[in-house]
Amino acid sequence: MTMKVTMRIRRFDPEKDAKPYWAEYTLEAVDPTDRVLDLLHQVRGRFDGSLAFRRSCAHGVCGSDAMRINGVNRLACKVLVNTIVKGDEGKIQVEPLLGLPVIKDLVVDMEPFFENYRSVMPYFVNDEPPPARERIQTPEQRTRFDDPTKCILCAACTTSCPSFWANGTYVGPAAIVQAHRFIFDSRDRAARDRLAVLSQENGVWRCRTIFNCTTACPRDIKVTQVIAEVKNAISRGRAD
Amino acid sequence: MAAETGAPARRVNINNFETNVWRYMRLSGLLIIPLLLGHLLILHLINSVFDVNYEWVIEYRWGLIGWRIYDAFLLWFAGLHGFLGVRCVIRDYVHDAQVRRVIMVVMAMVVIFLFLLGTVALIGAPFEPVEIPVVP
Repeated sequence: MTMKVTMRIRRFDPEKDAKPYWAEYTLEAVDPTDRVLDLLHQVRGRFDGSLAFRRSCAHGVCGSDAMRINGVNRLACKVLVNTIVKGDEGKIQVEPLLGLPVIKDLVVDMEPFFENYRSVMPYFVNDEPPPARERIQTPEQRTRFDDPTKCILCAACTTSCPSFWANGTYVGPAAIVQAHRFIFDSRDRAARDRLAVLSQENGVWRCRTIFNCTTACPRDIKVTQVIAEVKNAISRGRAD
Repeated sequence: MAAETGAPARRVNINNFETNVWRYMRLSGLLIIPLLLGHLLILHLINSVFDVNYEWVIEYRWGLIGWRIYDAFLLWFAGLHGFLGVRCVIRDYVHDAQVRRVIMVVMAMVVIFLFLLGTVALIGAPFEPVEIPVVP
């Protein structure tokens, strides 16, 4: 059994278009178990070879094909058509992530996102001489920051956040998740520096606990909870 | 060999002001709920709005120190909570720093004026009611 699916895609070519517009492409024989990413390839192959979108691994690991599908931030490679189109035919709306400048069609400029990411020192810091073998950590200490290690930096959370839409200087959920991963790592020694960065005007306090980030995360990270833990750590003045 | 370190380009201290604002918003938000519900219950549900007039306020509210303290809490907690809430909205949506500063200063002056007015009414002597002319 196949389906008839109309792809409604937000298009924009800065060399040709004054402003973005919606374009529709009807695919007559879609396999229900195809992914939205497969449909984008079909549109590009059959209708318009200039359609621009990012993809890399196509298996939900690299995070490069995050986009807004039917109004929700998802990875195009993880959404099966039959989960969002019921029956024999339907429509799928695809647009670029909100809150980041559009370069072309579904490709956004990720630099503002990575600038926020870099601001939280997302790397291991420890000046103490290393022991003869590895820096020992108990299973409990490792579990403390297990959830944020799953982040693939796809930006689905940050670009689903109304606070980020309103003001891009907000560091955003993804950067806070990355900070959490090191703040609560027993081997790291820069937790206080990161908490200080996140306590500033554009840090965690801009989070209004809307939970869009948690819904958007393709890796099921409890993003809002992670942010709340960082808020509490700042409030207490220490991470433990 | 020491592990590679990456000190931040610009070291900053924990911003206690923003942290305290966050604490205040949570605590005052919790406190405002019973205060507002009590206010609503007494002035709009238990008593008819037709009974709440100058004499009633002077006799049953202003005349009792407990109610004056209650109203003072309501004024200060709800007022400051609201002011800080609008501050959040302004910081989100007004991106020009100069315009933002002007709006904040004007808003702070209005809030201080309202606080003073409310506080004078609460601790000052009872004022005389103004005769409202009846339109024929």
